[in-house]
Amino acid sequence: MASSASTGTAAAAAATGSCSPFASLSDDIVLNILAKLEADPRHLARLACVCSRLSSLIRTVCYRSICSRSLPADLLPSPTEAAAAASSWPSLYKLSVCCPGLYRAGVLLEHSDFGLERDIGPHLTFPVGSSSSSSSSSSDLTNPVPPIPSDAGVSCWSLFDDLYFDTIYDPSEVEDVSFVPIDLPPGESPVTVGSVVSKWRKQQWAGPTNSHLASGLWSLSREQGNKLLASRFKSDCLYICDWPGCVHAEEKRKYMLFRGVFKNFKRSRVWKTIVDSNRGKIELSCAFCACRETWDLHSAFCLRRVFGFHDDGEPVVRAYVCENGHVSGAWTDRPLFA
Amino acid sequence: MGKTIKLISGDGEMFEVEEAVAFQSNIIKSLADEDNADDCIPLPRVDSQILSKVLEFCRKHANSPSVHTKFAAIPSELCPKHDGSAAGASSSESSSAHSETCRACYDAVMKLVQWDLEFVKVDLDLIHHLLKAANYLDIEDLMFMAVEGAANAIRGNNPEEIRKLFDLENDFTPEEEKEILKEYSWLDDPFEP
Repeated sequence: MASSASTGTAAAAAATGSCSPFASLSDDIVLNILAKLEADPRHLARLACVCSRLSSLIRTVCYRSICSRSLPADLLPSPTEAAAAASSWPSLYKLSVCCPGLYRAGVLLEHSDFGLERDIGPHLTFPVGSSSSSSSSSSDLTNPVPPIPSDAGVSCWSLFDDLYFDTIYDPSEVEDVSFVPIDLPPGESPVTVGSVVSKWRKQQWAGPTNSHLASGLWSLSREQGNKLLASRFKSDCLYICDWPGCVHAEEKRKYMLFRGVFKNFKRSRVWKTIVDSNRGKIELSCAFCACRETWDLHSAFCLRRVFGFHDDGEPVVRAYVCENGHVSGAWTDRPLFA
Repeated sequence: MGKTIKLISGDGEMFEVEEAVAFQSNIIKSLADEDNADDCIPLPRVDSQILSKVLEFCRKHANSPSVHTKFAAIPSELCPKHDGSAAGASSSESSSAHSETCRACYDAVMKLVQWDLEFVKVDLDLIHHLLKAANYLDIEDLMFMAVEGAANAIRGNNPEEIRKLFDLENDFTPEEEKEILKEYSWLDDPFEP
């Protein structure tokens, strides 16, 4: 290791043989120093990147201490679970202080992704005058498509068409360009749960799109969570950061980005709803853990129905949840004309 | 000079100081309380240069109550202006009420705080020794300020700068480093997704 650059006393009395004087400080003293740096999460974050000892102290001791003081008691792992939940403290801490950013709150996704396309099928165009035989298919699709309606003058697929053909279900139609099908054992339901490739809006954003230190209070509350979920989920424990969250004023509208977490997500009604309805995940990674895909709570009908859409198709509120129950989302101001 | 205490540093130098100064250290206080005739207290783990700095701090704090670890409160009997003429017992409650309203006390506290901040504006090597000495001798206020000195050196610096300042080695494996940087990517403020 590089020799110590420090001058001053030879420190014969104090040296313990280690080249680095600070490496030889006891955990107690180091924790005292770390406690002084709690006020701004960036200090501890930078220290956690310095060396493994500091990283370990910060992620196990400091984050646990801070969360225990700043978060609601029922959100914290119980003392018996706490030892096993050691790895959850960094996520919990990050949830309290870190805004997911426009990207992971799903604001950058195209409005058309908003559940509509997944629920009623993709927007397909067909060559005019194609035969009504189901064996003729457009070049884009590898599988036969249902016959188009008799008014061949219409060259695009409309909602009516989809509803009309809803009763004529062709299993192969779920396989199309925007889905990545997974292999199923034979005889299994052909409704696959695959990844949906997300489409991103092409526009300039004024503020940070990636995760960053959240503005506003660094705590979570169940009250906020209750305001978000549809009433049949009121027994679920969703904790969300306080209103208005981290405010991002963009050109067209203001986004109030929020983050939160379900307690015992796998035992929640939202989870059951997602699983039962076989919803596809989106390729939108979680801001708070290693999950690379999340579910859209809006299109899963988990959010209150009173939140509608803006006239440009953007939802008033959106939220995404990962398998660990971490939630990222954005509120917008409701349109003035209801 | 009131009752004095003799301290012997690790490198054999003798320091004679007033009790009020030496008793800032809870360790020295409890050692002195033990009924031994020899009033020389050896401190083998602190050398003379550090001990001299420690005693400088203790001298400054000898006639003030702790301004950092407890709420800054000067009992009215120590108030430079009022000379003990303030009514009421010197409980911490009435003391804090006194110093809240007494301008002289407030100024004295502020001056001491300023002095302390200057005291710890030293190189990190000395800070590290003060930390160890304050821990070993159990001097609360010194520990408080030395910790503040170390924290000051950390604030505003990025990980690499902190490593250089504190002479710490980056001992992450490449995989660990990748994970850590990903976990803390929110530290940067990019405008692209």
